[in-house]
Amino acid sequence: MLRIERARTRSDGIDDGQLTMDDEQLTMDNGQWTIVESLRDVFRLNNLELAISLFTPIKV
Amino acid sequence: MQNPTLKPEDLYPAVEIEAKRARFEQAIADYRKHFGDSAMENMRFFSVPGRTEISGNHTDHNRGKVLAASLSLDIIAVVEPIEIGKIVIKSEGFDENHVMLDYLEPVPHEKGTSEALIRGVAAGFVKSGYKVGGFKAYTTSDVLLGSGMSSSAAFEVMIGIILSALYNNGKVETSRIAKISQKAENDFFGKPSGLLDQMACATGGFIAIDFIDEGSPIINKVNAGINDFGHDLCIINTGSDHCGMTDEYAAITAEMRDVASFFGVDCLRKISRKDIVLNTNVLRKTYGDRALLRALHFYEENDRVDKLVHALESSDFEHFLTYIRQSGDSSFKYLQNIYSTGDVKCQPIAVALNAAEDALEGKGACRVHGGGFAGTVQAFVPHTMLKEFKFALERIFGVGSCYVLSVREHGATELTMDN
Repeated sequence: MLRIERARTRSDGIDDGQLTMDDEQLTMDNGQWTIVESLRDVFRLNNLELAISLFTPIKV
Repeated sequence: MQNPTLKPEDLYPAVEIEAKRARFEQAIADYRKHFGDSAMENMRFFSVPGRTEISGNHTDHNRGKVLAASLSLDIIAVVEPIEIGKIVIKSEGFDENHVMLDYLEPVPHEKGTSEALIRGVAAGFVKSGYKVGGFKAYTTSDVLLGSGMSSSAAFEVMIGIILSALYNNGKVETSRIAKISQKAENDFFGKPSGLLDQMACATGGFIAIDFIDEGSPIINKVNAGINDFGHDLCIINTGSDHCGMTDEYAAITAEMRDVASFFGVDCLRKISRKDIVLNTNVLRKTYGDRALLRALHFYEENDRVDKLVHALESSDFEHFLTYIRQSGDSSFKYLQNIYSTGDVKCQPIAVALNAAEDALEGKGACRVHGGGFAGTVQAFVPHTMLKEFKFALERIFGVGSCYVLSVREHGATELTMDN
């Protein structure tokens, strides 16, 4: 399972280090990413590029 | 031998076929928008793949060996023959190119342009005794420009496969088209490239080339497919263009040839690693340590091509990965084509290699891809780690920067489309 942890940055004012998304929330199909709408709303991420840049994969 | 004519489902993986058909439909629509309405039955369709260098990093210019493979990224064309002797090509995102076929000599002001490549390929056909004629074409490509995937070679080979199909009953051998394309790039476009790129684009699959005889390289198709070994082939575009690195590339060629000149020969292939080792001290003093190290890279990398071919042919993928890692190590330590010494703060290839090694956790393999100093990194990623790997790299280089590819078995081909 791929778990992804929020990178430790405070540049956008969002709490750092604790938020995660898992396989179902960020999917990859045929090389294309899809992020669930609800996650975009929660993190106020209207841009997939930004979403991916803010998170980092962690070992589970 | 007749050039191949395939159906899309014979060329593209099943999971991609819908997207590929949509891409052709868009290209047909764009053709009509640009050239005017035209009946589907008058149109011909073509596909030429890009290529990836598997090993033999900077060995070809000193008559070494290389291993390459054609990629699932391709340039496609919608084509109609015309009765006048003129080739007109509209490539997506570029101005239209026109070349009249009544003058087929190099034109100085065309150097470095698509017109030079078109004129050069047509000239090569005529000099080789083949027929040429006019056509209109709309092309679109997902072979990245300036990324070491040989977009220009794919374009040249595309001109050749079209001329073969339209005016020579598809009977110009793909290896012949590759040689004509290389000459067009050398003599008309003005770039002194080797034959590897064109040959890999034209013939498809894995291909090993030994440049020991510059005029007649030894070309062998290698029977293997990495998709059978549980790994994906990824190319990571670091967003840095290698187009401005000509001086760095030239320095590698020059330093290797300088070392060769110490022994009175014009390339490293004419001497042995032992000759270099026995003269280490004098070579260091005469040409500097970097030239010595680059020469040593040449021999080790050259031997690795044979080892990689053997590993592929014997389905020994563990050794294949080991040699890929060794190739990358040698490029970093000895060939030294990872970053430009003129701008040491800018090292995107090294950053990508570090991130790739971290994500791979000792599995798979990664190495600098192509000319180096900027551009792309190549990685062989276990299927089970692909998502994590892609995420880790795209987090740094942006969404869409990690291309998940496969080795395409077919080279340049005409396609038959359902009406």
